[in-house]
Amino acid sequence: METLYKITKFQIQNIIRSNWIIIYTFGLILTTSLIIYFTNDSSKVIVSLMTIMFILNPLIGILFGSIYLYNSREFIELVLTQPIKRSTLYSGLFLGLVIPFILVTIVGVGLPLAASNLIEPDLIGNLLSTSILLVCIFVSIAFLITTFIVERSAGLGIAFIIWLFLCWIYDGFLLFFSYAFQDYPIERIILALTIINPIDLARINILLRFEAAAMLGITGAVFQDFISASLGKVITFAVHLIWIFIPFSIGYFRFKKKDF
Amino acid sequence: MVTIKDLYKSYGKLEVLKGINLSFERGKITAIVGPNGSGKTTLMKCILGLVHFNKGKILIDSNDVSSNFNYRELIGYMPQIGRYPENLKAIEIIKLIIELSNNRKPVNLDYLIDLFNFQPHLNKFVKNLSGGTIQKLSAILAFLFDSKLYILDEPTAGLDPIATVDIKNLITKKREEGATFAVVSHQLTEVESFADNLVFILEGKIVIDSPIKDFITTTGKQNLEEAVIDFLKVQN
Ligand SMILES: Nc1ncnc2c1ncn2[C@@H]1O[C@H](COP(=O)(O)OP(=O)(O)OP(=O)(O)O)[C@@H](O)[C@H]1O
Ligand SMILES: [Mg+2]
Repeated sequence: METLYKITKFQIQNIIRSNWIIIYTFGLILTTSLIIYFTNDSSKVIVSLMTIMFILNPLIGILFGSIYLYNSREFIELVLTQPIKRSTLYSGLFLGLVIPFILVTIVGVGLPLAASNLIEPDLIGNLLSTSILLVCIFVSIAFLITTFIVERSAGLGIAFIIWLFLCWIYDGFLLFFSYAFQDYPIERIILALTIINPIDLARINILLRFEAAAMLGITGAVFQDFISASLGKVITFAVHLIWIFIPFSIGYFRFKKKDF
Repeated sequence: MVTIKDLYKSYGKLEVLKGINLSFERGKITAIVGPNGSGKTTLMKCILGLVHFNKGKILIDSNDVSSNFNYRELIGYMPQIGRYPENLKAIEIIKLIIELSNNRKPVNLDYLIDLFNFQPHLNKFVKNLSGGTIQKLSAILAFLFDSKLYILDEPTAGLDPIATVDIKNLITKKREEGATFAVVSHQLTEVESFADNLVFILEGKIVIDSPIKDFITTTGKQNLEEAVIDFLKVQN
């Protein structure tokens, strides 16, 4: 436990020392403030912010996460010569990356939002927690990628493709699917497919919160028909946890067996 | 101190260690020699748990290395190629290792910094250190604590003559204090000057395992270098 704390602390210090994360935080503060200032309509603000939090943040999470792990190779080799369990090191690396991301999200988006008084605190909380879960998912996928793919450029390429797929291609496929089979009762299938994708699920869960389901077209309507708001929250949380846990664990089993 | 039983290791299809049986005597220096790629580093990494072996057993005192990781606090390890996070300063790396050390005391720190004239490098970033200086950093980390067992993988490769002598003296000093050593080296003259036992690995198998003096005597040669060359000729 103590060792886990030390490794986590050490990694956090390291990340915070790199200017990169500071710049990203200020970028987020600036963007969020600008959106609030120019839009001044709560539902539009939320839709714009969702682009940042549910699309940009995961991209940064998966790319930066992969780079971070490839760069940590020396650190890992060094630490493993010491009396330290591999599981402790692996968890420490994860927490050391995820905690700065959580702070960045809270400071970069949460603070300007709270200061603006435009959106009710409950919804801000929901938005932030969902965004944090998504970042954890994409960092966890980055851990999976980097433990399997030794070569850096290949790993980063795969990271990007996975993000592209979950953010964009998957939706295109869903749209095509619902269009092609519109004469059939496929609501439940669409619903299931939406729930499986962590980003779609996050989007819907937020939009339902302020009755903008119409903006979601068929999936939103279906979601609203089948699932109440509170059940939606629970499902989102559960599915997201599974999405964090599975890549993280598969990565861990590989990491445990790896030769350094 | 260390007992290795019937150890096998392959990387994918490449069989590197093919049934190693070996022990490192307590309080003695065992030199491990052999051609490039014969599996010396792999063997050392198996002992440290950096590399997972396919078959066999390694005991350190009575600790099975596969079942517990705490035994590593008994070991000071100097890698063949020390690789350290580039964005850290030498002093930060030393501090990190001290922090992660399970409360072992870095009793030798000042002595080592002095010995290797390392003071001017402490606040440099790793990426700005020369190869030999990184090697010295590796030596400092390996000898930081009073360990029972030292595993040194080509400790003097890349060092200037003064640092080389310093390391040799360090080894002899620690050995007198009762530590056990496994030292990988290609320098047979050097090996002869400080080691007690010789282990020769050839293509993943041990072909010589004997006290150095006895080995030289049996071949009837003057020194270790000639003895080894003679032995290899006979093998072929
Ligand atoms: N991580 C790895 N993955 C795949 N093959 C490896 C790995 N590490 C070492 N090898 C291979 O295993 C063999 C033994 O390597 P090892 O480093 O143990 O040799 P060595 O005896 O230390 O050689 P040298 O004297 O050059 O240091 C070599 O053929 C090497 O290419
Ligand atoms: Mg080697």
